[in-house]
Amino acid sequence: MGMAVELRGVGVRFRRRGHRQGILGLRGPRFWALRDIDLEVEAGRCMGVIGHNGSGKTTLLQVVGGVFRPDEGELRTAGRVSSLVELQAGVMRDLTGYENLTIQGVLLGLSRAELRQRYDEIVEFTGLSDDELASPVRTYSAGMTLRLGFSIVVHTEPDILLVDEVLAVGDEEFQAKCVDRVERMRRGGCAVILVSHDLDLVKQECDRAAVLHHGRLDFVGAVDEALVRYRDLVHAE
Amino acid sequence: MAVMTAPARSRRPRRRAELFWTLCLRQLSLRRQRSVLGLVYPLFVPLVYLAMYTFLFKGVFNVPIRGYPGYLFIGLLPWVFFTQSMYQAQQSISTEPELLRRAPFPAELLPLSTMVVNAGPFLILFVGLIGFGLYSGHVPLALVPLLAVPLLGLVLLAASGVLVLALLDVYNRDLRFLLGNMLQFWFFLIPIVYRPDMVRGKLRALRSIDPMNMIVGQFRDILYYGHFSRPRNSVLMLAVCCTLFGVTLAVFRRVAPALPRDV
Repeated sequence: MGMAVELRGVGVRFRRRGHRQGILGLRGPRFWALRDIDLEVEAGRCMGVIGHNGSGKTTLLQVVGGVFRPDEGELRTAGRVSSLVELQAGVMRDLTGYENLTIQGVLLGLSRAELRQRYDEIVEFTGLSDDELASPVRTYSAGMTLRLGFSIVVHTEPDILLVDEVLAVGDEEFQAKCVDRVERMRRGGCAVILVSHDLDLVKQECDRAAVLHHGRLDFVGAVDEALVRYRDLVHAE
Repeated sequence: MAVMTAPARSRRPRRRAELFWTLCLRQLSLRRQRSVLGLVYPLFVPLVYLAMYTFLFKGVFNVPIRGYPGYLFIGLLPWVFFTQSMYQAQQSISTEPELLRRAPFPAELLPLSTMVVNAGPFLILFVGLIGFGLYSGHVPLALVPLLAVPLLGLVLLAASGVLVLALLDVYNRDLRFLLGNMLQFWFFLIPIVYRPDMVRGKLRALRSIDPMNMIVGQFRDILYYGHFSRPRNSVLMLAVCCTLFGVTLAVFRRVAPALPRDV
């Protein structure tokens, strides 16, 4: 299997909020949210990313997803990238489930023709009824929103799937369905990067794991060793 | 810094067009939500202004312009399209941080889709205006295709405006407070409610470089006076609008990669 994601010395800087930033907010101190990140994920493999809050896990996914451009380093991705990074991201709460499916699908790279072809399958995967899909998303529970978001993402048939914590929101049955689907995608050659605080899930799903600590890569390797390293860091703090 | 990825899907023209169309439909759907007037009210905005200004400037001040409602409406229509686009596009990026972080896509499509949705009511009224001009004999049929020239200028100018405002709003919200006053000041600089020769002195010099003034003047030449402006004026107007749009788009695209982080 070829390399699906490669990061070499990647760094991302953010502006620190709450400081004097000049009239356009462009001055003021900046800090490295990620620095010196070297990471590789092969096609068909699952890389777990763990770390405490604010360690840069989500930022890392946003970089791989092409949303944040690195300030330094090199990023290579091979194929279509889709992400389940924020549960509510891009969902228009005033629009119906159906309308959101269309918008999200096109946003994530499906053509309208592809979307029409896969529509029934996408709708079926959500497990939501016609009435629910015809209702505004503001009336949905977090779990229902997850169903909508997850269904559209997996049907974009990505080569690289980025998952950030969101699986924890759904009910047990849907969680199992999602995990099963991710597993099938992985067997089909999709590379998965899974960010989670659920260490059991990481252990169960991932081939390797990376530990992020204050924006730097502290460890990359076997999952068991990564979990030990992560627990050491938690205890040290 | 070096970033090498598979070609971004959003850069493909077809994908861009589909995304743009979807964003326009999304705008329309959002306007319809929890609103009875959302979709039709934009059609009435220029008509409301027309009634107000006709009452004020013709009824009260008795401005000496023959066929004042027609004269006013020809200037008012592009102006209302322009200003409504500005108002609605101003926050089109800063209120969508989640959308920007959902997937990489050209952020300029957000303000531009707002502008295009605003163009709907404008075009409906504009076609009506042309139809009325042809019916009443004010507008020679041969001149109608030439309306494409000021129309193109207007679209380029509005596109430049929405891009600049949407971008600035991400970094500084003060313009939200100032925009209304600035546009009102600009409105009275342009001879929309009065004739150009009614104001003399320095204002004239200021107006001579104002692209909106050129656009309104050219619409009025065709639709009110029934002749086409001197070609030199049209070339100058298009040159100014194209330059503005080109510069604005270049600046926008330079800043755009930072938007998902900064918004």
